[in-house]
This record gives sequence, structure tokens and C-alpha cells, in this order.
Amino acid sequence: MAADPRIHKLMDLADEMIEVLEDIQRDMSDRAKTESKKPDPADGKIGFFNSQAKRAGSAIDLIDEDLITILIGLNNLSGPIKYMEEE
Amino acid sequence: MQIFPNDQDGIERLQSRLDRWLESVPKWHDHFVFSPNPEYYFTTPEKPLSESKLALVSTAGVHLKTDTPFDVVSEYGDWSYREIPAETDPKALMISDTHYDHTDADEDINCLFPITHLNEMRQAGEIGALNDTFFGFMGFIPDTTELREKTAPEVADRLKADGVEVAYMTPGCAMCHHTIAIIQSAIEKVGIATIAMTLKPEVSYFMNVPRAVYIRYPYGYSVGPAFEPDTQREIVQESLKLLYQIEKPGTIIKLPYRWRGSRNRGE
Repeated sequence: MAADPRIHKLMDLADEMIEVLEDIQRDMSDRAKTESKKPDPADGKIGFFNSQAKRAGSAIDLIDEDLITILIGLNNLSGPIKYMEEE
Repeated sequence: MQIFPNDQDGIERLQSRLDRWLESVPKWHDHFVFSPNPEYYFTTPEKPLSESKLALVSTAGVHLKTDTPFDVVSEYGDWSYREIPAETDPKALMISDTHYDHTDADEDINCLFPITHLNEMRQAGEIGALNDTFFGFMGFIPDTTELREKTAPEVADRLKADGVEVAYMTPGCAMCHHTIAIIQSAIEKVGIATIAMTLKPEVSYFMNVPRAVYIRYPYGYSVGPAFEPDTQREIVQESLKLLYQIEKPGTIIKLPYRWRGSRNRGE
């Protein structure tokens, strides 16, 4: 059990979000590849798939770089707060 | 190898993170003075790990349950150290540091003091030998004068006299990163190659550490997730491999491991 389990719960949610976004990213990239291999590929569709994959990638970066950094910071301070209360 | 930071922008980001930290620390700890190592000491290992003697040195406040706890009240910090026999049962260890959350480490000390993994690696022949004694410091030392002048060189000399060739080092809290860099430098100075884990690369980088490995985990998990021995062992193995690959003093390598909250425990 963590000093503040609520922060671990938030991290679980962030991790789950990354997994879902990675799934979207993979799916869209695969669809773009499949479309581009067709004899008469639809450029519009490929553009949409790639754009969606890129958006998912941006969201992953945002969570990974910004949100998780903040959550790590929250968790880091939860220790001293716990021990201070116990003193 | 992912060198961290890998460009000028990255260095500037680290600088601003360090500045923010240095701005906040004096609010809580009057006597803290940021004291970077004045120069790099860098020892190149001469023998492969499988033929080398290794010691574990930590600033996470680990010691034997039978030993005197560290002084967590003194505003100057506690620069003393504790000796920990290499073959100690992890259950005989405890952490007396109140500056980071070690709730998980209290149950699985290997997530910041990988004593089990190092013993297993020695048994498997990956490490030549373990020093009979490992060393535990508590990294909360705002005033590092005595550490720098007395206890860090003392431990470095002990390791040298014991024939140690490689040291694996782990921090606990934020200030532990400042402390471990000073000890790491003292150990390199006597001719022992070191690698330190870091969770706070902005401190490690500007403290001029010889070598470090960065993983994105909160304090209390400097060797990775609690209750995941395979991942911890992998991180130790990869870090020790990097000790042999890093050729430039001050290099920090980021490993692609990431904190996953309680999902790391399979909850």
C-alpha cells in the first residue's frame, strides 16, 4: 500500500489511457498501411488514418511527459507528508 | 543507448527543473547548499563484471534492523553510514528515512536495495564476487561538509582496501541524489568504477556524476517496481552493462522503464 493510494490510482488511469491511445495509434497506422497497399488507394482515407495516429501519439506524449511527471511529483511528496503526520 | 539529455534543449529543461528545486529546498531545509563535484573522477573498469568484485552502496537510509537508525531530525542531516553484510536476509533490513515514501520498499527492499539480485547474479557467475560488506547512508544531508571530508572518503578507502572494483549505487529521496553524487565521486577517485541509479536527473547531471542510469519512477523505486523481481533484476543487469559501455564522464542513460502505479503490483 502506498503512502497515498489515490495517487497510485491516478497513475493507473494514466497508464490505462496510454494503453488505449497506443492501441488507437497502432490500429490507425495499420489501416493506413492496408489502404496504401490496395491497387487504387484512397489518399483521403490514408490522410485521415495517419492524422488520427498522429493525434494519438501527441496525446501519449502529453501524458507521458507532462501528466506522469506531475503524478511522480505528487507521489514524491506523499512520503514526507505521511511520515510528518506520524511524528 | 538513449543519452539523457541528448541536446541543448534537454539540458536547458534540466537546468530549469534544477532551478525550481533549488528555489524550493531552502524553504524546508535552511542548511542545504548545492555543492556540485568540482571535477569528474572517472575510473574505467579493467576486468569484466564476471571477474570483478562488486559492492552495493545506497543513500536510501537502509540498515540492519538491529542497527542504530539514522538521525532524521537533525537539520544538518546524518552523514554516518551503516555496514550491511552482503549475504543479509532482506527481511533483516529496514529503512529509517522519512523524506520519501518507502511503504512498498518496506515490503520489498529489492526495489531500491537489490541485495537479492546481486547475490543471485554472483551465484550465476555474472558478477565475480561481492564484497563482504555493503554500505548504507541516509541521503538527507543538507550540510555535506562532514560527508565530503570524512565519511565518503572513509567508505571509499574501505572499499578500495577490500579490493572492490565496481560499485552499484542507489538513492532514495531527492536530496539523496545530491548525497550519492558526492559519495560516487569519492569512490571513483580511489579507482573504483561506479554506476548510480537516478530518479532526479537534473541533480545528477549538474552534480557532475561519473555515470548514471535514469528510470522514470518516483522516489522509493530506484531499481524499478516493487514486487516485480524480474524487472528489477533486468534493470540491475542493464545498468551494470552500461557501466562498461559508458566512455564519457558525466553520461546519463535513460532506460525505457516507466512507473505504472499499482498496476506494477498486478492490482
